Amino acid sequence: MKEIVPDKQGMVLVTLFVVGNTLVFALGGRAGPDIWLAFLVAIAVTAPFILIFARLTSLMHGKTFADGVEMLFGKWPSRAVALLYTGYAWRLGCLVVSHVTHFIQAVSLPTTPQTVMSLAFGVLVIWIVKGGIEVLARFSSVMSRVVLTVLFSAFALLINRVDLGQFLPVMYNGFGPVMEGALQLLDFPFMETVLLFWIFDGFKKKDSAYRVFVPGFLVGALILLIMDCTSLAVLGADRYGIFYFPIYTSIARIDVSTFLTRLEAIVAVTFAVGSFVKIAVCLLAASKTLAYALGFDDYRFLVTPLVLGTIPGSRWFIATSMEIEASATKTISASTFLYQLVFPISFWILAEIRMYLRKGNKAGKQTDV
Amino acid sequence: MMIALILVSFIAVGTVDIWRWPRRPWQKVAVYLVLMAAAAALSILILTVDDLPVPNVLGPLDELLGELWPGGETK
Repeated sequence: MKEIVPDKQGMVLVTLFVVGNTLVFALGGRAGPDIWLAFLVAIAVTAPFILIFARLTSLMHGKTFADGVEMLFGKWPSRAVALLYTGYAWRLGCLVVSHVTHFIQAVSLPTTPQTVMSLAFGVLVIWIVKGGIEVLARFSSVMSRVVLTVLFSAFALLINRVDLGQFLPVMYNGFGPVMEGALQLLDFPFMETVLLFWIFDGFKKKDSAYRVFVPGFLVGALILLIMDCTSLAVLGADRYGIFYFPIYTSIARIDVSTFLTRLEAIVAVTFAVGSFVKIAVCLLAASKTLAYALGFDDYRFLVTPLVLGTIPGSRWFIATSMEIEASATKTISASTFLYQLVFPISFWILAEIRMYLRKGNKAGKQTDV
Repeated sequence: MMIALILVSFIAVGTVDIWRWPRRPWQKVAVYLVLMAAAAALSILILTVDDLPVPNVLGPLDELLGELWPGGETK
């Protein structure tokens, strides 16, 4: 049975996915004081791709993404592509689990084994992924109010510590660091949104994909831009790049008359909520693509083994905090290139060609893929 | 001891999970068991092997991109 998500809930899900586990890391740190420019470049580069993905989903209206890909490539090639995305989604889920467990261990529970924390997350993820995309979208809709309230309260309380001189001089080292910062942001988290296209079964209207993905991405990117720029202006450009968790550190500096302090714990909770949503999306995508690749209609029976696999997987891909920092701030990788750019663009080009040919056959009548 | 605990845990979770399914076609059960066995094997390998190597099927492409953009390597 197809699960249809209302546009507003879908949009919030996209926003929480983008903000997700990225909130505490030194995003775009290589740009230094020009981080705001790196964000703008990354948003400007990603936006056309989001539009392309939305157009692709719109062309496949009435079908799941997997069914649409099957119409483009045929049965077996599309199953092979789905299997590749299973690996990508599962690996990304492992990385997010690793990020969140390392973060919790570093800031609050140093003697608790990471396996215990990942197991706790795993149980909740099994529950929500088996519930389906509708439950996940509703959960995102409820929790987004908490996350946004906490983040904007923290931002408001930090304003008196902001030093705008930290952003000067503009482009002192040229455009190179800006591009490196933008590439960091493209890799993690902006282009990871490609996974979301596999989890939605469909939308109410043909243009719903635009209403879900474009504002969802822009709001998420804007939240990250505001929080990271504020953090850099509080800590300074040099320190922003060397801290593992610069936003957490900058929020720890909030002190309202020694009465309101230690607010970083609340931000840690929002990080955990965002990470939970991102892990759930990754595992939902992994389950759905694997079920499609193996020829099953229902994906729910695959959820438990895939989620349990992320617990050892999170320790397999990343073992130390230094590796976490490296994975969160790398610029580009082959998987990024292939899964986030090559495949989606080839899907889109094929879909446009197919629609053009159909249009010709039906004398200009508007059709879907 | 830990290996036995991991195996018992996976068997227990798998048994309860399959028991809760309304229907149990053999294709689904087979795929489920293979995936659970893989997850259990990975858990045991992580526990017993220090620094288990991560396969990188896109290694040559990663190297090329790493040369073009320093810092682009992934584990």
